Parts: sequence; structure tokens; C-alpha cells
Amino acid sequence: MRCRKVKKLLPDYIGDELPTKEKRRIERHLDGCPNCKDALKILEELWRGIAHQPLPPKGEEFWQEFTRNVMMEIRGKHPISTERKKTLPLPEWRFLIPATTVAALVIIVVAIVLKGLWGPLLLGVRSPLGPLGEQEALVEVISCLSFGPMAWEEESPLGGIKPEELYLLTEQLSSPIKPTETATMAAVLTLLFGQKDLYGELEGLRGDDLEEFYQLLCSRYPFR
Amino acid sequence: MGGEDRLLKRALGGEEGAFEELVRMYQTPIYYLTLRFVGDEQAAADLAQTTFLKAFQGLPGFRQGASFKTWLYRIAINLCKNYLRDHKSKDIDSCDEIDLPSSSDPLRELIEHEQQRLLLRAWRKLPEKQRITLTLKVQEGMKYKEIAEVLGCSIGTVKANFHHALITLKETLQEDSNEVS
Repeated sequence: MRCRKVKKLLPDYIGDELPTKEKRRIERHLDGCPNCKDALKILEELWRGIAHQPLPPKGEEFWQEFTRNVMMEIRGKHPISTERKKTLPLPEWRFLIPATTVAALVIIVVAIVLKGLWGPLLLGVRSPLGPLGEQEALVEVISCLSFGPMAWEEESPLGGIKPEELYLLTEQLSSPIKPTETATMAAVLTLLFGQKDLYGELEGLRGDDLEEFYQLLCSRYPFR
Repeated sequence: MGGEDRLLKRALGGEEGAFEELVRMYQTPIYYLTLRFVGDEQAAADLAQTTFLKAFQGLPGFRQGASFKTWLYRIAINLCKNYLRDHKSKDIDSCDEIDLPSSSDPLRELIEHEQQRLLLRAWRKLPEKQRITLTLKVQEGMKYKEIAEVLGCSIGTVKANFHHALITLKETLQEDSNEVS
């Protein structure tokens, strides 16, 4: 190997980028060439000078604070939800878990209503009539709306509430219904009749609108 | 699968603690890399922290199987480049401000300090690409292939930059020492 080629390869040699075979060839040349050996010495000194540039040492406290600052910045800009904190085996689980939870809640609520547990849970009072049925649940809701006791019959869809009674009911609602009461009533009616549109109609319900609501109920559920 | 890969997978799954572990693993090299480039400790700390923040933000797009280290270095270097572009005058002036550890031999310390100062000055005069290549090769101990990945260029370019950097540095130091003598 000639000096020119060796000098050209010296940066790769000190940078440990050459295959072993080539390294050996250079070393053999260096053994018998003081000129190339000097060139290597200069490069090695330069390398050492660059590699050992003094840097201020930092204590454990600095690194702890560094990590803390990074993580605080991350949490501040990208709050990681509790959902994300858990390791999930499949990405789809992120959607399946909330969906399953909602489905389970719906089933539980329906079961509670159908089993007649809705009223006591809602009102904190156990009905004297025993396990509540659909009509009883509705009555409990109506009671929640501060109505007086109602008479009903079991066979009609609305528990046999007579038109005049329902009308009376609407009349008693002279003041606007509280949002919580509307929501409760709407939720129960939706569960009882599976009519989603009822919920929408009830949402905007105010005292004066109750007459219309009554007409609507009468048209949909023919009372006796 | 290595420890780093496992941590990355967990971090990709949104596990905060795993990313924190990755920060601990790389905070020292990244901080010193930024310090070498910008020469200002506070700026270096800010840039290093921003590197990790950007890495976290980019995690969803991180290609599995790629080197996290290479990716971090690439972010850090780009941030340093932008910083130096905005603080050009500060770049050269601040390089002599790094405190040297005190030694028991003051004369030797003075000589070494002077040599380091000249070297640092010559290093700072290098074109940006050569300076970055030299830092990654000599100070970070990276291979040409790794540097090429960090800088997004070919191995040939890295090799050429490294060779030129050493030649330029050697010539500059010789000129400086001639001026002193």
C-alpha cells in the first residue's frame, strides 16, 4: 500500500470504519513508514482533543429536574387520560371498552325499570305497592314532578291513565318543568315505549306546551 | 426484543412511565449534544427538553423498528440548527465560557486550556455540516451509517464531510499556532 492511499484512509482508520483486512494492511505500512506514522499521530491528537472537550459535569439533582420538567411539559400539553394510561393489547379495545360499558349500563337501567326498582332508586322511597311495574315507574316519575296520586289501570299502554287525568296532570304543571324532571320523565317514557322522538319532544317541554304534549300522547296512545 | 424496544412499545401504547424511562436513558447524551452545539447551558437544557417533547408528540408517527436514538439525535440537531440560525452572534462568543475543571497542575491546566480554546475556536469555524459530522463521529462515537441516518444523507457524504472536517481543523490549528508563535 502506498503512502498516498494510507494517508487518505487514515481518518477511516482512526474512526474504526475499515474492514479488518484493510486495517492490517495499513498497520503493516505504518510499521515501516515514519512519515505516515506522524500523520496518524497528528490525527489522533486532534481526535483526542475533540473527544475530550471539557463539559460541565451535572449532578443527580440536575437530571432529576430535567426529567421532571420534560414530563411536566408533556402532561401540560398532552394530558394523558386514564384510558390511555392502561396498556391495552389491541387498539380496538379502546373503542370496545367504552361501548361495552355503555351497553351494560343501558341493560342495567332497563332491567331496573322493568324489575320495578327504578322508583325507589329515583326517589329513595320504596313503593308500598311492592315491586314496581312500568306503570308504577311512570307514576313514580309523575310523583317526582310533584303531582298528586293518580288512578290508573294496568291494561292500557300508559297504565290506564285516563285522558282527563292526564289533562289534569298537564294542568297542574303550570310552572315550567325543571330540567332534571323533564329529563327523568323523558328517559322513563323512552324506556317504557321505545319512542325516541318522545324524548326529543319532551326536551323542550314548558308549561304552555303541555297541552300539545297531552294531544300528542292521546293520538299515539288511545286512552280509554 | 430489547429493553428500549419494549419501552417504546409501551410508550406508543400511551404509557407515561415508559416514556419517562426513555427520557432518563437519553437525557445526558442529548443535553451534552445540544450544549456542544449552542455553548449555552440554559439554551442547551431548553433545546434538549424540547427534543423530548417533540419526540413525544411525534411518537404516533414513529416507525417501529427504527432507531429511537437516531430519531432523537435528528430532532436535537435540527433544533440546534434553528437555534444557531436565530442566535448567530451568541454562537461563537459563548463557546469559551464553559468552565474547565480545576487541576492540581496550574501550568499544565493553562496549556491544556489554551489548546482546548484553540481547538474549540477552530471547531466552531467549520461549516455546519462538517461540525455536526465531526461531533457525531468523534464525540458521540457513531458509525458513518448511523450519522447518515441522523442527517438524512448518504454514507459517502458523511465520509467526505468527516475527512474534510479533519483536514480543515488540522490546517486551522496549524495556522493559529503559527500566529501564536
